[in-house]
Amino acid sequence: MQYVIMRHVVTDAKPLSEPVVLMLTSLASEPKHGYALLKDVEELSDGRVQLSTGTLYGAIRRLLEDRWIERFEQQDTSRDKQAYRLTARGRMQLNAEIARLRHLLQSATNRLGLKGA
Amino acid sequence: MRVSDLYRVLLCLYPGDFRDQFSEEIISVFEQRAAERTGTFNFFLMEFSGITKGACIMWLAKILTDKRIPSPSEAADTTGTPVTMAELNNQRETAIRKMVASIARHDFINARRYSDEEARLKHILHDLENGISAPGRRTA
Repeated sequence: MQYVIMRHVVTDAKPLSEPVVLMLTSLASEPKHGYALLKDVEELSDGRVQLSTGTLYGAIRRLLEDRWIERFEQQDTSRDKQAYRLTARGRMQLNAEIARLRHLLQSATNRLGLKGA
Repeated sequence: MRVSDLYRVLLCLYPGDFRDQFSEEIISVFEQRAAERTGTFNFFLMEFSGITKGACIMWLAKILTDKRIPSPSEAADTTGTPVTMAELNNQRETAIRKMVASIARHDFINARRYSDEEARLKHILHDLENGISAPGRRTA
């Protein structure tokens, strides 16, 4: 008898907030410290999403607790310049959110009769 | 009093474990941002309202969902028995064994629970190996 072990990918089903999506997107390419992350979130959203420093670190704390991001140890890391990077779990959540948004976009496009737009 | 000093005072509104973890980073980021936006009223309004709102949210989150399992140092404080790396490794291996057993029984709810437990222990071990102090650690 042959047993096949399937890996069940479990993601949190709730849609992510825009700042969280932007933060995960920013960290998807490379590790960043807080200031670089703030600047990148602004750039990714064309200046529309501007997080305060307190809000940013509240979100970082939650993402660390959920293990979607982790501290990234660098040679020159000082206590006031800690870098963060996306974990495999965070990447999975981001992929799931992108798939959800893509599906939503497709549905809206179909309903509006904008096929090929 | 400089603006960053006032900001530092407002940081005291946050729970102690949050301050231990992030206060230096927050001050550093705030100072960098303040330096590039000198005198911008909207910026300071956003920052000061953000910090007070953030502190309220942190306290609410702490009160409502404080499910954090004590860090090794806290466990040592309360029980008088220090938790060693070997014990944490044992706990992690046990969690993995239980997770595998749960998967074999098709009990995926418990498997997920043991998987989370294993990830938590891995995180603690990683922090200990890198000499990072646990949040809320008492130094006295």
